Amino acid sequence: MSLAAEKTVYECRCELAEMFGAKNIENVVFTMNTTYALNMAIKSLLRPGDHVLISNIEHNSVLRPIIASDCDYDVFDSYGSTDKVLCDIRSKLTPRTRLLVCTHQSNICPIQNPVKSIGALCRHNGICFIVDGAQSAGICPINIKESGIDALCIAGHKGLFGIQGCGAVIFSDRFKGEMARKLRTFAEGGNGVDSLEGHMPALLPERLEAGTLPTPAIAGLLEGIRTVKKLGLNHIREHEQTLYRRLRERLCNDERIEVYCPHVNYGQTLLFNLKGISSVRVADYLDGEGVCVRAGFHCCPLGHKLLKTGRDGAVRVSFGAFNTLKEVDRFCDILSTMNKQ
Amino acid sequence: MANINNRCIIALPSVTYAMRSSELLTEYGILSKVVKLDSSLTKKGCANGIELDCRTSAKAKGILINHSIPVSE
Repeated sequence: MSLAAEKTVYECRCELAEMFGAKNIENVVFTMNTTYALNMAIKSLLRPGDHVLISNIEHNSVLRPIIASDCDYDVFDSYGSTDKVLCDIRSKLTPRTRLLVCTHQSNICPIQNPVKSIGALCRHNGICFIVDGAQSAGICPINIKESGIDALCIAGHKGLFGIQGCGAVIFSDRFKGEMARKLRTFAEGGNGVDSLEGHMPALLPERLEAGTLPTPAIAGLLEGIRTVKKLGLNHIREHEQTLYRRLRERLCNDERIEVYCPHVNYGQTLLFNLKGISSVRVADYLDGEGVCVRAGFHCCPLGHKLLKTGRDGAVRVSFGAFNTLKEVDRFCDILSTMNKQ
Repeated sequence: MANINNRCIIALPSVTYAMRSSELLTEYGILSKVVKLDSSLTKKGCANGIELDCRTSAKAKGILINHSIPVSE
């Protein structure tokens, strides 16, 4: 029975490794969620005295571990062309820069970091590169080898259709043998391997997996990944783009609504404010009409500062593969009724 | 590598490696079964491995080493 459960976990590792371009299945390490994945990746690679670069659209799951590490850090600007972003990163590199951590897709707006170009820059400068793929996994193609990513952190319950309760770090293939042994453990405990030893095992994934794995969530994630594969990544992405563009077009035509990043032509989320009405009030109104959005700062103070959303934050609309254009139109109609109140 | 009733055991660092090894050997036509090892077979406590026909074990071990899978003695 226990081996049957282990087989499910193993199959999920295989699917994740294949989806994100890792050759070594062992380099897929399960966590509770993306925040734990990012903490694990950051803390396993960072050393005292290191300098870190992060982007100005980072979630608190990146910002807070970096601040807590007491390492020096600088923030680069993600807003603009790839050349502009790379130029800003280069200007902030120091001889002590060991790590660059950035999100692939913002959790509040349509801004994406050019991870492939940033990865090449990191490789060239011998910097470890961690990517927060919470918003993009299952929607945008990500290949850790092609993008020079050392550790990709993902959520199980978003674009990959799992249930809440698991995430993963996918370490690049260079983390094997001695390189894996050098990864600092984030938590220690039992995992069914080398039980008589006082230290965590030297090899991945067990080196970083302490305690009981969230097997039910991993089983759900496995089925979720299979669903993504059936639907097709391109199909999901194109569908969400269609929804995004329709919503953007309709909201931009309403002068009482401020849409953030209205010029960006792609996205899975759209951020807006109804002028003069707090984001929480707008969200409450929509909730009463059966529409779920999220108001406030979305754990992303840097991004809200960049977009100058103000003291009430903003309303975020997120699209999913199963939303429809009809729902987008209904959303706009409901919003317009509030607009007139 | 232990020999029990003409069935040999190859000890591996974890259940993940055991499952990967078994899958890999199947591609080479070698059938094996993932097993939990007796504590007496290891020095470090709980461990997993694969059980297979002793006639195929040397070849299997070679395949695993060629694929950089750390095989325990």
